[in-house]
Amino acid sequence: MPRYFFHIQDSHSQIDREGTELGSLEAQEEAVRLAGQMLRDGAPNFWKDGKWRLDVASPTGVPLFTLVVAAFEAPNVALHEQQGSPATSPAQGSRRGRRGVLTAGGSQRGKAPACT
Amino acid sequence: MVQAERPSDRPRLVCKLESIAELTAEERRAVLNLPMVIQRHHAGHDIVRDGDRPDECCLVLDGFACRYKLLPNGRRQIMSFHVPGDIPDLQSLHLAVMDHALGALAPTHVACIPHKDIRELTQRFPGLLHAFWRSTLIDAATHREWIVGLGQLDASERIAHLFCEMLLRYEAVGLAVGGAFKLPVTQAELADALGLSPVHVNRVVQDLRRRGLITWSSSTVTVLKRQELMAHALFDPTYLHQRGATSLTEGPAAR
Repeated sequence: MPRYFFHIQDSHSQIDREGTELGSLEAQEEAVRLAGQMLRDGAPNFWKDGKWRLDVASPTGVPLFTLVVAAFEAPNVALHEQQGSPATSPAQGSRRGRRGVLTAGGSQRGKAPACT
Repeated sequence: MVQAERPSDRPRLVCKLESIAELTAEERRAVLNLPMVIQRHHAGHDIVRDGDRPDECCLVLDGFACRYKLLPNGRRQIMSFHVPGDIPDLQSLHLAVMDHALGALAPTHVACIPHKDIRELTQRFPGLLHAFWRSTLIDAATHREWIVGLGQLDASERIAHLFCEMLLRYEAVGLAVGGAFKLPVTQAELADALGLSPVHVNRVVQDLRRRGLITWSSSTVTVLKRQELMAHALFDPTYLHQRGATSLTEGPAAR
């Protein structure tokens, strides 16, 4: 079975030097599972950066696909307004609510991921 | 497959029982004289199958076993690991049908002890009845600890917690030397026990190694920094209810 490498970038970069042997379909599934588990464990720290990225590479270092989780602050939405209480001053109104998205992309070389 | 018994294996059960209960010389002798038939199982083979109605209990003599449950969709949950001295299907003495399977994860010898002989033994020696009862209660305590781990510990704490548990259980039967013990499992099997993806297990093990807490090669785990690993795992050994329990700092107590 081929060995896949799962590199993570959040508040610091974590290079996977050993890799894991997986079937080709498994690599995509395991990437999503890994993302879910790591986000669960890292929930308290996620908002420090509001972004998390997993790059999966082949044994020769060719990037195969990337999972990105990013949080965006919604503009002009006061946090306490979301919670149902009116804004009392413009200063408080500058605090923003946030939302997150989960996106996935293929390799930057434009090739389809080799493991599909 | 039936094989000749090695003389050194049998006392492991006495060792295990004495790690959780006090035995008299007579009780010790009675355990050593239990009739046993030795079976050898290959890695990956079932020792007892889900749904079986056993008329004997299996004492692990050497190797490594696990209790597991296979779901209809093929996914597997490993519920416990078993080291020499354990009788993982002791409950079959009172619960007629196996509600999970017992499998060998490495080449494993088990000694099959007929239920009728265990019943006879425990009638003659109520002290042994209590020791076996205590052993199944500690099994239940261990399952409770695993539930807490699966629900509340993060991946790194969960894996570190398992290493701490296996170290203390191996020490209880005299099979851990200098913090090193056999863990003949793949990362995929560890993942099935801890509710993690194999990739995640791999990452965490790399991290624990990098931090100098453990080494893991050729199926042997060595705990290098016992106190730090236990603190990292939020590990409290109370649930193992070992006599002369090891302290967090001092290593195995003299027996």
